[in-house]
Amino acid sequence: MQIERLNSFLHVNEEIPQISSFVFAKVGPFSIANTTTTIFLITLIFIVGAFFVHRFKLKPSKVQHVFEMLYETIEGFVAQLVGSKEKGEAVTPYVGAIMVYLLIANLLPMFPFISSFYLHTGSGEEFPLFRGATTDFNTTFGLALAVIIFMQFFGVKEQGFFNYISHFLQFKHVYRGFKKGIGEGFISIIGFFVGLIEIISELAKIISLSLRLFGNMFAHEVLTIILLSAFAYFVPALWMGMGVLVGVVQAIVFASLVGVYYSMATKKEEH
Amino acid sequence: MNIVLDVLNNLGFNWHVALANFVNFLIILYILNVFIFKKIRKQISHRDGIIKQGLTDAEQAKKDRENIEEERLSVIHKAEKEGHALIDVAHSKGEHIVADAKAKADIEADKIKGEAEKIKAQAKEDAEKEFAKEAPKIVAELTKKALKENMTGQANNELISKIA
Repeated sequence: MQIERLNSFLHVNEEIPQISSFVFAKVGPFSIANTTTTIFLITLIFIVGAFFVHRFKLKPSKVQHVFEMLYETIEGFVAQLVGSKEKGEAVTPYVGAIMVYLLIANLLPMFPFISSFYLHTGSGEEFPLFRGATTDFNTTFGLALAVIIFMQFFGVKEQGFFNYISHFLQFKHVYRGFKKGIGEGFISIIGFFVGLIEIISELAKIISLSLRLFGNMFAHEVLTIILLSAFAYFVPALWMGMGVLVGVVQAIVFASLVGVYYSMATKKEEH
Repeated sequence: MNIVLDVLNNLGFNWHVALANFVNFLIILYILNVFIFKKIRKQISHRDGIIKQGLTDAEQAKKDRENIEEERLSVIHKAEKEGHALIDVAHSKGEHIVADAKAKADIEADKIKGEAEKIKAQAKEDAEKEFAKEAPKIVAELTKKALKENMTGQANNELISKIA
């Protein structure tokens, strides 16, 4: 009996989270899952943040100083990624926003009590109300899809519709190649197929972005639960500390890739 | 295609949830972009503008002050020069006036001296003339008087001998 009590004190018996999030409501074509509620919570945090930022003054307070310092750090980082200060200033509201969103989304589940809210279903099952947003493939997929759509938009905006599309459908290059000669023409046909592969590459970016983030964050959550069931104290704490690092690094990696994709999409090719 | 769907299902993909999370992400992106990031950028740019304007104004004020100082020194230098020139002119004029006055005075003095000499000579001439006119009378009178009062025979002889 005492051994059982000691066991329950030393181990946390929690179920390993399922790969799919728990859907508890449906509104039209949208399903509300427990990762969606986390995103709602994050949205609420940002709305409060927006009210706070709205009250910023010309003569800054200490907190405003911190916010501005963080902003300038992110802006400097993005400027380095995209290669110029002007482009950095233009794209920071997007790349920086993704970075901040991911930082909050990755670190929010580590706050105490966030995982203590449960939803009870009619069948007696219970699910956590808030699940780490990035531990759900649906979130990371939606995020990556939005990013790639935005990159196409920026590419078209910067280079013009036909110029940007000509990277993928290189009819003009084939025509010019054959105009120069048969050899050049056949080389341009290879270029045409490379352009088609670029389309697949754009789609692959969605998968690679979403799976990298989802894999890291979900694996971290699963390992945390496994460690908690083995040792309730110390070891999970170390792993949670590691989780902060993973969360921060993944946010930076994702934002960096977005910055690189932006540079690639807006780079004007010399013909 | 089925393989892709199987893989996605195994990853817990649910397009309804993905769509909801996609839309939510767009909302978050909008809030962060418009109400936080752009606001902070605007505030920083506004402050940068004011600081840059202040620095430019300060630089301009410094230049203006230097120009005014230069102008002031130039005016003082010019005034000093003009003052010195005026003093020199005054000195020169003064010397001229003194020299003129001295020359005039000398001329006047010479004139007066000449006139005085003339008057003196005239007076002397007049006196001599008068004396020459009156002298015999006086001598005669005096002689007469002297002879009347004190002349003895002996004295008379002596006198006559002396005159002779």
